[in-house]
Amino acid sequence: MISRQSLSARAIAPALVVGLLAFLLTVDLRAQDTAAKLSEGRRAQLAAIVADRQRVTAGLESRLAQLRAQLAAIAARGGSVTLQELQSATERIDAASGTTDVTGSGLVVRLSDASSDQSSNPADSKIQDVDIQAVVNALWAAGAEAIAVNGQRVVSTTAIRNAGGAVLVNFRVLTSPYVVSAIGDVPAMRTSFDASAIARRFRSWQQIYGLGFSIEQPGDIQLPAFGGILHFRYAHVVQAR
Amino acid sequence: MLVILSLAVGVGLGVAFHPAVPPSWAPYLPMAVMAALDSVFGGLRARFEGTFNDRVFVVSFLSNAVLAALLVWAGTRLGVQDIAIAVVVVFGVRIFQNLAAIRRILFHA
Repeated sequence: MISRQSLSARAIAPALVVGLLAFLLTVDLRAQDTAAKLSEGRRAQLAAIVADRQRVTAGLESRLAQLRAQLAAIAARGGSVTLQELQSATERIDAASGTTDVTGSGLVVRLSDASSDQSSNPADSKIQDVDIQAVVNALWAAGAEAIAVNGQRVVSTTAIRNAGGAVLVNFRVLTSPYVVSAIGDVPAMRTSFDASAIARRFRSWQQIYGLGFSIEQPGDIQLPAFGGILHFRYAHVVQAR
Repeated sequence: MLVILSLAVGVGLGVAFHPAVPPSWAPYLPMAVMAALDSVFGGLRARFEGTFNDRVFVVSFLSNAVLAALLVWAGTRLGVQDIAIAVVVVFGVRIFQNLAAIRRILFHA
């Protein structure tokens, strides 16, 4: 407390207060400066970085596909029986893990956002991550052996999720229309998927919100390999005895 | 004399240490600075009018700065994001009034 009797306190306290003001002013000025510098052109910079990274990723993925093709070619030249056995084993594992292109008879489910908002809630007229998840799950349950969404192969580490207004599959941004392709026994898959809860719901959403929903049987379809890397650092294979 | 020395030391400290303002504090510091500026001009005016009281000066400086920051904080919590404008207007007007009073005393105009 400042005492009225103490002369030195009377002189010092206001001076200290003015010092405090000077300190606050300086700090604030510098903080505003830094803030202005940071926000200026930051958006464009970030956009450029993202675009650049996407280019690099695309380049690396095509290189990866090239190297895998080379590796397969080299392996195919080897002739020993054990090698051939190993190769057929790897092929089966590759097909199952989604690291090779696969082809076969299949079903294509097409989902799209409503062209015009028929609901007060804008989320109602857009396809959400959970919708695609449900369709993919229903197709697995219907006996699909391989599934891809807009060319993104669904593998063991695939996540289908919303990020902002877009849907990410394998960390790739996808937009409407969403094409879910599944390879399997077509008549059986068709029957089972038609009867699934999500197919029924989509038919009513088609009426209520104007969402696009169709099932096609284009005959043979081809699904691309998973473009990313299945590299497990923490999960280890249990050695069979 | 002491005041000017203290002023210089304050600026010096601000420049030398360059303390990072936490982002969560960023909206409140300018409010506190506005309030503090108002108090200082008020003090200056009181000095010229011969009614300066160090106790009033110190207490009003600290309480105004803290209250302004608190008010803005409470406002943003209550969903009144623009309450900072109210603080700026109030202190802006007061600073102008104080400056006008000082000008009248100094220049008799």
